[in-house]
Amino acid sequence: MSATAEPSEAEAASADATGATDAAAATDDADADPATSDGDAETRAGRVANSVASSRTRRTNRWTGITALALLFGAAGLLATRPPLVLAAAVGVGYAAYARAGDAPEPALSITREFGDGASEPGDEVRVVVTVRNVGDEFLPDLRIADGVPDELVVSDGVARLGTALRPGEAATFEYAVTARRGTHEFGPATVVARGFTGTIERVQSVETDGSLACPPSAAGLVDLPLRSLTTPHAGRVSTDVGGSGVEFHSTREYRVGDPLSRVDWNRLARTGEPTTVEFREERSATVTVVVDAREAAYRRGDPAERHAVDRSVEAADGVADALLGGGDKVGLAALGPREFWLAPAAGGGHRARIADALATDRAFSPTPPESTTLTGSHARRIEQRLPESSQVILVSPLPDDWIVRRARLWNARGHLVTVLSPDPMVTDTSGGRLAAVERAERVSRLREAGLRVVDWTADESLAAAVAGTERRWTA
Amino acid sequence: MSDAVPELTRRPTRAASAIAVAALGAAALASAPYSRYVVWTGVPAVALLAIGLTVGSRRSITFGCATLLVGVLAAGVEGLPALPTLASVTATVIAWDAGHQAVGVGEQLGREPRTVRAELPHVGATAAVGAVIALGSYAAFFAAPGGLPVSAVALALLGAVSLLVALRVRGG
Repeated sequence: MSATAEPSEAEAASADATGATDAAAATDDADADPATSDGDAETRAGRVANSVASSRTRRTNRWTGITALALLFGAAGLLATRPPLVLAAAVGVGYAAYARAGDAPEPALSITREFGDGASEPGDEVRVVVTVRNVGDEFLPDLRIADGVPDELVVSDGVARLGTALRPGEAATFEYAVTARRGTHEFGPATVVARGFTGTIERVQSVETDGSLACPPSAAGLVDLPLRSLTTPHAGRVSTDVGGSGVEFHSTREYRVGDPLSRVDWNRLARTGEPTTVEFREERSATVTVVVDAREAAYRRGDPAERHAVDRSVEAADGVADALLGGGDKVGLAALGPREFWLAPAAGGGHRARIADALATDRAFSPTPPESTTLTGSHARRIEQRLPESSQVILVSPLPDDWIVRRARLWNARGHLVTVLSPDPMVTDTSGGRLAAVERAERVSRLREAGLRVVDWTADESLAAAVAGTERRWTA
Repeated sequence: MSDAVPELTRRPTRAASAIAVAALGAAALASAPYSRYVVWTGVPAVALLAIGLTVGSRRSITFGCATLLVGVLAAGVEGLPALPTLASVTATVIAWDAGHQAVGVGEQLGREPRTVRAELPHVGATAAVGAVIALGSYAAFFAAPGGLPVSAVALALLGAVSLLVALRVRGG
């Protein structure tokens, strides 16, 4: 039963063109027709058709072969002179005519999306209720809708799809739950497939919808990352090798006139008669630039349901920057990637808020990977030029390639003592994943050999635990 | 976390599948008392349809329905009466259509979402159209004075088919 040929390309193309204009006309009609609206602003808003981004018709080849059936039965009935078979052929002919008569409807839909809870934390389930209303004056007997859920949001309960039939003015709802992720997630256009009763031709539309889910980053908790001893002259928390006033013992020296009496070693004076002065390690503040690796390569994860490495990097950067600013250090923020971001090191509450805001909303730290995968040598050079002379660097990167390793060693060699904070994307399921894990481990050890500090942060431990575990290695 | 994510199964939907199997079963039962050919082809036909609806194969559905039609055709050549012939052919077309609807909706939406309302109007319309055509042609068959010669009816049908083909060429 496959007598009819596939539709030709030319046919499909012409159907495309007419489909688009028809759909546009249909939405215009719906916009201009206030007859169904009862004046109430709210219902009015719900009865305006969403604009259609793209629309095309497609043959479904649904009734292919029905004419062959008719001819076969007709011929058999004729040859065997059996009237019932000729009658059966009439059924085939009737269906063929029915299939010919079918056309694709032009749906005018109003699609609205409601979110369960506005302010949600990453990891929470957010219920999404989608209402689809037929605002045209055509009955839509076969309507299939798939909501444009952003890639980053994983549907954790229910399905973001619905198959229904809608009379003019009728509405249908479906709901599902997504696991919220950090960032602002724009919902894409909904895909709508509408067929008439016969289903011979279907219209595929991409219907624009509004709605975005904003999810502020979770409070990562302060992460006390010990800094390296590259400091400013101002008082702070980083112990230096300079003797002076502080907490940790540094050395003793001969008493000089003007030394504070509280630092004179009285025991020693009593024992030997020589006045000596105790010196402590001076504690100074540092200037730190947190550089987040946001290149396309850094958007790695083990499982589609897991958070990718950049998401964890941003959380880590947030926690580290917060703790450092709280300790009086100057902190700057930069994104290393095609979407540039630079915030010069500074201190204070306002700066703290700026950093938190940038990490939450700036597109440089967006949860969706950048489209361009171009090499980012020039971006890295721009960051290098902007780095203040005495600034340390905390590089937050999953170490996806050797390029970032070279960069980190270069910065370290130029005197910006580099600490690498590396969220492990944990891609270990496949042989390729295992290879990536081995390569990454090798990169970590190469960085450590070069004298950089590396915190290797696996997904199943907290950053504070990872830092505490690695810190022992540094002091030992 | 990953095991909590529901996977979309692209399998034929349940409602239209059930209708398809029921319709093909009814098609076989309508003619089975009159001819052994329909009995022989009925069981493999329903089995092929069921397999097609389980794995989502359009080809298997079409083969299942074609199998039964071959049985009905053979029975018709042997002298199956008009009413069971019409009932079987119409019900087979309904089963075929419902089966394809089940596969189509399953491919586009999957089995999990609510899709019953997208399946029923289409299948219902097909059934209604089939009933109208079958009853209409049956009535015409009886109302015709002294019964039309078979060749005349066949020629009329041939004319209708060529008209359809012409329409298809024009309408593109």
